[in-house]
Amino acid sequence: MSGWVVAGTTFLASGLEFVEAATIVMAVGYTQGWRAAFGGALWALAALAAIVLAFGPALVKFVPLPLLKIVIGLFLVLFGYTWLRKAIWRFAGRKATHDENAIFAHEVEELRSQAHERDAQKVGFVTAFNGVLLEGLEVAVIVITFAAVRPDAIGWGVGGAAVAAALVVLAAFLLRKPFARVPENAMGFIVGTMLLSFGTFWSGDGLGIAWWNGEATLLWIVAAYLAAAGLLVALLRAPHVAETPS
Amino acid sequence: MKGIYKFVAGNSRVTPVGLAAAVAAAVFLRGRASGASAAVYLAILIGTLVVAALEKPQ
Repeated sequence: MSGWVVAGTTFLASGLEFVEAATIVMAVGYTQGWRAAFGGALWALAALAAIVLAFGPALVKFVPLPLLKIVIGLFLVLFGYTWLRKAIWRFAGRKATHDENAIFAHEVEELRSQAHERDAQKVGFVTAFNGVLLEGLEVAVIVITFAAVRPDAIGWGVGGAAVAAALVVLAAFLLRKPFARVPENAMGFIVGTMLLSFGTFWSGDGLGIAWWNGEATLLWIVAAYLAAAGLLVALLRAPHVAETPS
Repeated sequence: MKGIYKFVAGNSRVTPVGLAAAVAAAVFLRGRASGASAAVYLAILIGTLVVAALEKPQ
């Protein structure tokens, strides 16, 4: 398995989640002040790094690899289903696409209603902290799982996620407005496919399945999920179906 | 508990069942028809994706 594939998957997953987190942090910055916004975001990033450092090596050290592959593979499959079917629904028009501008406006309105409170700074800090922590938690779990099954890939996994986070922070600093043009659904579609494929391969490996061409089978698995997802988008695309808000 | 379920399985009723069926089939087949176990495992997981995508969007 190429390190670039791991890095690409964590890059896209991290980029997608941190775009959503940046919307919340910017809403806090514009309403409760940038000190609370950056403070909350930085503490959340530190917490996420601590989670990765605490659980990654511990899992490798104390859990046997075949069991790790099964448990982690199945987790990745479940995550992959969630990401991919959401992307399928959105491409098919069955679920509203993520509108960062609308989310930003909603967050700003909610935070402004709390601005008169004495502890507005604290509310801003907690909102930014929760936003970054919750959006980043899934990325942390993905990085830990990659690191646990393939310890040689931890650098690629952490690197991909860190580069995406840095790019989002830089873009947020330069643009100072929500990222409305990021192709979030296409990114979610790719991440969902990759999580499902890695999860299928690793869990099968752990269960004792003999894949036809060793690690090269991963390509066939990716192709099979892409074909199934593409067909599902075509099948579900129906203009008369009411949209469900995100 | 509900939050954890949403985080892990995205509130799908189908995916945990499909996953359990795929694991059961893989365990059952690996000693008997190891050549078919990979195809069956993948087919059940893809079938689960199809059924999960047909669930009501949430």
